[in-house]
Amino acid sequence: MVARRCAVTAAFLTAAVLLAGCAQQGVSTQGQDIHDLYVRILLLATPVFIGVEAFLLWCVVRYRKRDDRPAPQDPGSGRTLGVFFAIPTVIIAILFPFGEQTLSYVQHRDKNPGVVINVDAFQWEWTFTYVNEGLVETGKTLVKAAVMEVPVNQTVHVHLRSRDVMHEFYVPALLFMRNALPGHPNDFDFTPTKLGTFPGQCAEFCGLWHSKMTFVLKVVSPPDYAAWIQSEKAAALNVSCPTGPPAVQLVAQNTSWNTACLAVPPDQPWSATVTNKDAGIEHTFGVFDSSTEGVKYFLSPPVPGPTVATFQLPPLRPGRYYFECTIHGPSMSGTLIVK
Amino acid sequence: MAITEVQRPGLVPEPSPATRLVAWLTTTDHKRIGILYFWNSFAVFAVAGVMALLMRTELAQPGTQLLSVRAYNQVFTLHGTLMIFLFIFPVLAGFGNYFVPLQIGALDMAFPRVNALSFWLLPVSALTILSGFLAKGGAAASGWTNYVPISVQQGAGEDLWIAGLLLAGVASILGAINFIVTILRLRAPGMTMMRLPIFSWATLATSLLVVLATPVITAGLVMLFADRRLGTTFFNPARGGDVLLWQHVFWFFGHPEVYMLILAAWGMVSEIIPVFSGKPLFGYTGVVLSFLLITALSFSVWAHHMFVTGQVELPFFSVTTELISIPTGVLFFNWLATMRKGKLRFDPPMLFALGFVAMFLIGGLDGVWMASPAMDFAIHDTYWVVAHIHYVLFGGTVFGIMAGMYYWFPKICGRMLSRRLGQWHFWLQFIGFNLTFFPMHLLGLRGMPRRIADYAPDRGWTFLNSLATVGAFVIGMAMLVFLVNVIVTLRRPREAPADPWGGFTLEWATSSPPPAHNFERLPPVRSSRPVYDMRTAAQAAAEGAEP
Amino acid sequence: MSGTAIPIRSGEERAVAGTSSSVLGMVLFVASESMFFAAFFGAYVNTYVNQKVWPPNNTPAPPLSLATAAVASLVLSGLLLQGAFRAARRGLPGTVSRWLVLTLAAAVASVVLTLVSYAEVGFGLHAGIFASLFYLMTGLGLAHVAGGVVLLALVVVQSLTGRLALVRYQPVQAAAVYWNFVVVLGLVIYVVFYVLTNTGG
Repeated sequence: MVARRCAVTAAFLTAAVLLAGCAQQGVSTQGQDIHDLYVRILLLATPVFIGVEAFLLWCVVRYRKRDDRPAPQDPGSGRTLGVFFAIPTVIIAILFPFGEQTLSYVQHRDKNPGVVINVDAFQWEWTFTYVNEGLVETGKTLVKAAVMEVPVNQTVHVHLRSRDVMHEFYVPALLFMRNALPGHPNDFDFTPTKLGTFPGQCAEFCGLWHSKMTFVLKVVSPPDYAAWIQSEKAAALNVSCPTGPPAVQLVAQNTSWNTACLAVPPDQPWSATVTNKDAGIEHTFGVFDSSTEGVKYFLSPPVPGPTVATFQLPPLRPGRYYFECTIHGPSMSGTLIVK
Repeated sequence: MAITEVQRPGLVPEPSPATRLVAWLTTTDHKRIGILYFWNSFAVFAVAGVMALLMRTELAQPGTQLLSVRAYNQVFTLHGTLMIFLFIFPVLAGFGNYFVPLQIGALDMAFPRVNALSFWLLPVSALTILSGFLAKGGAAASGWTNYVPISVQQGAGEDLWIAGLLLAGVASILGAINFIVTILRLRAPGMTMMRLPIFSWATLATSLLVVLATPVITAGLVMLFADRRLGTTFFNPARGGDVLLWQHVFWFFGHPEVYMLILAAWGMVSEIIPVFSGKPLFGYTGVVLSFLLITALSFSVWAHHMFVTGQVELPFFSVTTELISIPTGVLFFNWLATMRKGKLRFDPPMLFALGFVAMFLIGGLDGVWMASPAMDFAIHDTYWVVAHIHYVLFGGTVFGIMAGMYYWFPKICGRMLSRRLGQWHFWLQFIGFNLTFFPMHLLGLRGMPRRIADYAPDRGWTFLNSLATVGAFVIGMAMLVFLVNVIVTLRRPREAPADPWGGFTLEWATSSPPPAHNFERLPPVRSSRPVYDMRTAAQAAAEGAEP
Repeated sequence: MSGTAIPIRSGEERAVAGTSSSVLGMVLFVASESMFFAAFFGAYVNTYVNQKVWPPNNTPAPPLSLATAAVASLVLSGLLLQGAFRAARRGLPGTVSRWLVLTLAAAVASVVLTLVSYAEVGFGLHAGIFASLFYLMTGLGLAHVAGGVVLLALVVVQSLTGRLALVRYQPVQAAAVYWNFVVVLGLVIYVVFYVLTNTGG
C-alpha cells in the first residue's frame, strides 16, 4: 500500500516536472505569468490524469473475468451521482480564479509605454511603425523577415492592424498571440525581460505563403536601442539619388518598385510613368509627407497589371517625401527627393 | 415494406446482379441504408487518411519534398472537411440508422424514403468537394473553418466546397428529424424514455444538436456564397460588413458540431463497457442527464474559439467552457464505476472502448488549458490545438467507432471479426495514434503554428515532426489490418449467433443479421436491459425446471 | 361521434398514442428553419450595433405601401388556414376545401404583392450591408412562402379529390404548422425591415 502510494507520488512529480519544463518560461512579465498559469493547470490536471488512468489499469488487472460468477448488478445511486458532479465542480472552482487573475495581468495596459509600435500585417509580411521615433521597419515576402527591435524592461505597446485578411502576431517566447483583423484593430502591451533574438510568425492561416510570414523580435539594452534608432534614421536619410528630368519612370514587379529613390526638380509640374508588370495585381502611386501619410500630395487610381499609365503631378517644394503603393503599403515604398 | 422470404429455392430465379444493384440503390430499409453509410464513410476515411499521410510525409523534414505549398493548403483543408463532415458524422449516423430502430424495437425509421435521400446526398457532397481539385485554382484552401476574408478570395474550388457542405447539411438535418421522430414515436410497448438504450439517447441528443445548430452554418454558407458571387458585403469591412460575423456564425454551429461528433461514440462506449463488465451502466440517469446538459451548454461556449481575436467577452465564455467539463467528467466516473467489481472481458470491442476512455481523457484535459483565455493566448492556433482535436476526435470518436464496429459487426454481417487481427489492429492503432499526436502538444508549446506547409530547420521542431510521421504510418498499418480483417471475415460463412457477447439491448434479440422486418418476436421491455432480463429469466427457468 | 370517449391507454402503450409522426416531423423542420433565420437576425443585430447610422444613408428605408399589403395578405391566409384546420377537426370535407382554396388565394396574392414591392425599393443588392441583409432575408423569406404555396397547393388537390379525409386531415395540420411559421417569419421581417426603419427605430 505504501509502496503503491510512493510510486504514484513519484510518477506524479516526474510527470509534473517533465511537462512543466515543456512550456517556455516566457521572456516578458506577461509571459512569465502565463507560464505560471500553465504550471497551475498542470498541477490540477495531473492528479486527474493519473487517477483516472491508474484506476482504469487497476480495474483491468483486478476485475478481469476469472470465473462464471455474476458481477454485482449495481446501477448506481443519486448520492454517488452528486459526488461525481461535485468533484469536477471543485476543480473548476479552483481553476477559474487563477485564470482570471493571469488574464487581468496580461490585459493590463500601461499608461506610459516606453515604445509604441503600429504593427501592420499584410499578405505575407509585417510592417512595424515606431510611432514616437518616426521609424518604419518592413519585411518583404519570402525575401526579408521584418525585425522588431525593442529595449528590455520597458513596456512596448502594440497597435495591431491588418491591411487585407486575418493574420496573427505570434511570438512563442512571449507565450502570446493576437489576431490582426481588418476592421477591428487590437491593442496590447508586453514588457520584455530578457535580452535576445526571438522568432515570430503569423499564426492565422492567411493564404499561400502563410508558413513563410515570419518576423523577429530583438530585445536589446536601452543604449543599444537608442543607437539602433539613430542608425536606422540616418540610413533612411542616406538614401539619395541624382535629380533627373521632371518625368520619372517607375516599374512595379513582384510587388516591389524597381527603385527606392526618386528625385525631381522643385517647383514645377512633373510626371510619373508607372509600368505595372504584375499580372492580375493592381498598384497605385501615391506621394505623401512621410509613411504616416499625414499629408497627401498625390494618389493615382489603381493601375491594373500588366499596363502602363502616366500621371501628372503638382509642383513640390524642396524636401524629402515618401512614395508608396497604397495597396501594398510600406513594403512597396521609397523616398522622393525634391532638390 | 416487409419482404416475404421465399422458402422454396429453385422456383424463383436468383436475382441478377443488376437487380441486386438496383435493390441497393433504391432501398429504404434502415439496415441497408446503414450499410451504405458505412461503405461511403470508410471510402472517404481512406481518401482523407491518405491526405493525412501526404501531409505528415511533407512535414517530417523542413523544406518542400512532396507537396507544393499550394497543394498542401488544399490538402489540409480537405482532410479536415472530409473527415469531419463526410466520415465521422456519417459513420455515426450509419450506426444510428442500423441500430436505433433495432434498439427501440421498431420496424424501420419514421420516414424511410427521406432516410434514403439523406444518405444519397452524401456521396454527391463528397464528390462535389473533391471535384475542387479539378477546378481552376484548385480545391478549397482556407481550412475546414474557412475564415473570411481568405475564403472570399478563393476560386471555384471554394464554391464547390460550399455546395458540398450545403448538401451534407441538408442530409444531416433531414436525418436528425427522422431520428427524433423515430425515437419519440416508434418505441416498443414498455420502453419508456428512461429505459431507452444509452446509444439511442446519444443519437437523440445528437439529432437535437443537428436540428438546432446545423441550419446556422447553412445560413453562414449562404452569406459566404452571396459575398463571393452576388455582391453582398456581409463580411467586407470596407463596405459595412464584419469579418468576425463569419466566426460567430461558424462557431455557434461549430461547437455543437464537435458534440455531434462525440455523443454517439459516448453512447456506444456506454453500451460496450457494461456488456463486457457484466454489469449495468453505472448511473444511467446521470449519463442521460450529462448528455442533455452537454447538449444545452454546447450552445453557450462558441466564442472560446475566438479568444485571440480580442473582440469577445472572455470571462463569460471561459466560465461556460469550464462548466461543460463537469458533465463530461461525470461520464468518466460512470464508466469507471461500471468497470469496478465487474467481470471484465477483453474482446476487441472492449479494447477499443478502454482505449477510448484512456485517450479521450487526454483530449478533454488538454482542452482545459485552452479554456483559460490567458493560457489560450499562448497555445491557440498552434499544434497544441491539433493535438487536442485529434485526441478527442481520433482518440475519442475513432476508437469509439472501432469499438462499435467490432461489437456490432456480427449483428450486421452475421460473422465475427477475427479476435487475433482485432488485437493487432488495436495495439497498432493505439501506439501509432499516441506516437503521432502526443508530440504535437510539445510542438505547440515550442511555438509551431498550425496550417503551415513548411518550417525552418532552426526552430527545434524537426525531431518531433519526424516522430509524428512515423506514428502516422503506424496508424496506416493499423487500418490495413482492419481492412484485411473485414475482407477475410466477409469471406467466411454467416454463422454468428444472435447474441455473441451476452448483450443487454433489443438488437441482440434477433438473428445476425436480422430479417427484413427486424424481429420475429419482441421480448417484453421492463427495464433498460430487456435482453439481459430475458436471458436471466430463461436461466432461472432452466434451473427451476431441473428436478 | 363527439360523445365517444377515446379509451385512455395504459403507460405501456404510451409510445403509440400522441401527435402524428408527420406533424412532429414538421415541427422539427420548422425548428430548424427558425434557427436558419435566427442566424440572419443575428447578423442583423451584429451589424446594427456596429453602425452609427441605420439604415445607412445610401440605402433608405424601403417604402411601406405594397409590403404592408403583402404581409396583410399573408396574415389573412394564416387565419384562413386556421379555419380549414378547425373544419378538418370537425370532419367537414367540403368546408375544408373551401377554406383551403381561399388560403391558397391569399397566399398567392401575398407572393405577387411582395414581388411587385421590390420595384419600389430605392436601392439594389450591391448597395452595402443593409441592402445585403434586406434582399437576402426578404428573398429567403419569400422563397419559404413560395415553398409553402406549393405545399398548400398539394393539400388543396388532396382535399378536392377527397383523399384528405382518408388520412384524417393530417396534412392540414402539418401544413398549418409550416404556414404559421412562415406567417410569423413574414411579420417579423416586415417589422424589422419596414416598420422599424421607417419609424426611426
